Amino acid sequence: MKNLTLIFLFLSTISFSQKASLEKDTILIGDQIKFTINHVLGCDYQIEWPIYNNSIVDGIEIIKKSDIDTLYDHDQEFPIIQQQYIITSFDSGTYTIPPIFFSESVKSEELILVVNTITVNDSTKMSDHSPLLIGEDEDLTTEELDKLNENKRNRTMIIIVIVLLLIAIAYLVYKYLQRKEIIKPKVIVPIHVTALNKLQNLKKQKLWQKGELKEYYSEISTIIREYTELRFVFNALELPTSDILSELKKLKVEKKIIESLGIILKRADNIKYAKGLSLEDENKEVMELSVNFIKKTKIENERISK
Amino acid sequence: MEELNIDIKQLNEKINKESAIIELLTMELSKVIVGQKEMIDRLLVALLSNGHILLEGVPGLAKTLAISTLAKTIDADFRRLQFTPDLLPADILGTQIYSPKKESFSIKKGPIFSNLILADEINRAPAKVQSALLEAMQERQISIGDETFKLEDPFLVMATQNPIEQEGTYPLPEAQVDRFMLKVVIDYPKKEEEKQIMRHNLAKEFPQSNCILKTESILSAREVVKEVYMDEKIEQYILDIIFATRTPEKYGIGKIKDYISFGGSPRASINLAKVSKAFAFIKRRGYVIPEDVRAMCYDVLRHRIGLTYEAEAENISTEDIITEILNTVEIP
Repeated sequence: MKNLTLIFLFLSTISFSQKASLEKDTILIGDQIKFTINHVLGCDYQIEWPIYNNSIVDGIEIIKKSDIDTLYDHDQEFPIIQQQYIITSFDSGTYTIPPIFFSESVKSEELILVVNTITVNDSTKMSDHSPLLIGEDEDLTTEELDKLNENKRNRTMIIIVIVLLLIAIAYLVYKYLQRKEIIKPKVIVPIHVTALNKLQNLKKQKLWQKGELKEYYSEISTIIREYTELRFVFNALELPTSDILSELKKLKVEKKIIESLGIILKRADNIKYAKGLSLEDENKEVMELSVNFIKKTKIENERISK
Repeated sequence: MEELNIDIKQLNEKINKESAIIELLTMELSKVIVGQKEMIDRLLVALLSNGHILLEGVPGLAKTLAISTLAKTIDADFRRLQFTPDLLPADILGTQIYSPKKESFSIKKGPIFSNLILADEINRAPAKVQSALLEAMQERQISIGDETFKLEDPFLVMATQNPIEQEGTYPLPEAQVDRFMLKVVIDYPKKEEEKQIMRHNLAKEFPQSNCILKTESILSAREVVKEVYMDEKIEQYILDIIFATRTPEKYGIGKIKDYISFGGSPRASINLAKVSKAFAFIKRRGYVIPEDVRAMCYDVLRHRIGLTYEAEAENISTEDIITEILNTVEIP
């Protein structure tokens, strides 16, 4: 800094004030602010005016500077000498602008300028935030403006629809999860277990012992047909005995198994449709044959869950 | 219970004895007719259950030969009536002829006065002739002038329809078709069978059947057929099948409802029960089983189920509907 010696002569007695001021005392890197030097003159008074070339201090650069100007304020009796600098800083930190000495006894106050950096969030994804390059509305025709407005409306609608969809999806997912919690997986008893249980129950009923032979054989026949239908997947409940046996033959079921099933169903048919009678041993045998048929044809480790 | 068991046992024995004639008949018929087992079975079923048959099949499938051979084996009269558009009811039933010498009318009986009749191409005759025949089939008696004549038993009409030529025909109305106990559809013989047929026709002499029975044997067999036991469960099964043709939705087959314009009539239930018994008899059994019902179901029902326009448009036949019903109705 160099000092320029200026001599002013004033007529009146010494009466003056001096000031150096910053527009802001805290700025971000690259921000531009005004640095103003004022000095109010008395009469016949000699001062030294500071001259800055490129920087105020190290780190505070001068962008632009005005001429030294003399102002007259109505409230003031004496003129004011003023010079303004546009300054900036590209390094963060705290800078001290030392007092400016206008004479040996006259000086300004020391100034502090704090320069901050811009905080960068690393977790933020990179994206283009630059505004859409749309020409000034004033340059557009009415039709273009309408189209522009319509586009804006459409965009808004799309955003609303997307938001609503997201809400709906979230609701459905919530409901699904809630339902999933309520409906516990149902384990179905394997078909052979069901059939064997039914046969066991039938045995407990002691139907043939009570003389209800037809009911006993009807039940056995139904249990076996139900099991066969589920086990071999054909409509055994709707087929007569001969057709059931033919179907099993087609499925290449072991001959002995088919023969034993034939004994059960034919005997049942004889009792059911021909008023047939059977001996005690035959009744027991049919039950045993039925149990064996199921055991021999069951699917091992069958577990079906719904 | 014991008594009932003895009844069935006795019945089985009786039927086993009586139904031996069926084996004899079948053997005799098979001397002349190669294959067409189903047609022969149905002929016997109709004969034993006092019904009539409507036969559908292309020409040359031994229809005439079958019925004429049957007539010969049971010592029955046989007549073949070729139905034509100019046929008159009197040509079939008979008429009164004025005798100038006696100055009175005498009755000339028509060809319907026979035991077995083949009404060939029944749909070629006009409605009044068809109606006259069908009335005679139903009433089993004919009125000519003031006199009423009873038709002699056994009386069986086997009418044929040619499925190919439909031009210039008078299709039988549903109400009249219902009078046929069975409608049998016959197909071409198998290759092996046709080879045999060819050999028969190339031989010096065509095989001949002999008369092995009297018509009385058939009449007595009919009485035995009536005794064949039909359990309540089988009755229920027949009813379920017939009702499924009327209200399929109640049997879980609502999908076929739109294809049916009308289901089987009570005549369908009656005839299905009758022919099931006859079929059990042919199989030499004293009781009916579901197999018998199923075996006869198509022949009893195929002409008794009316199809809707939708069914025809989708090429769905009555056979398809019967199959669906049989696959759905549970056997009791």
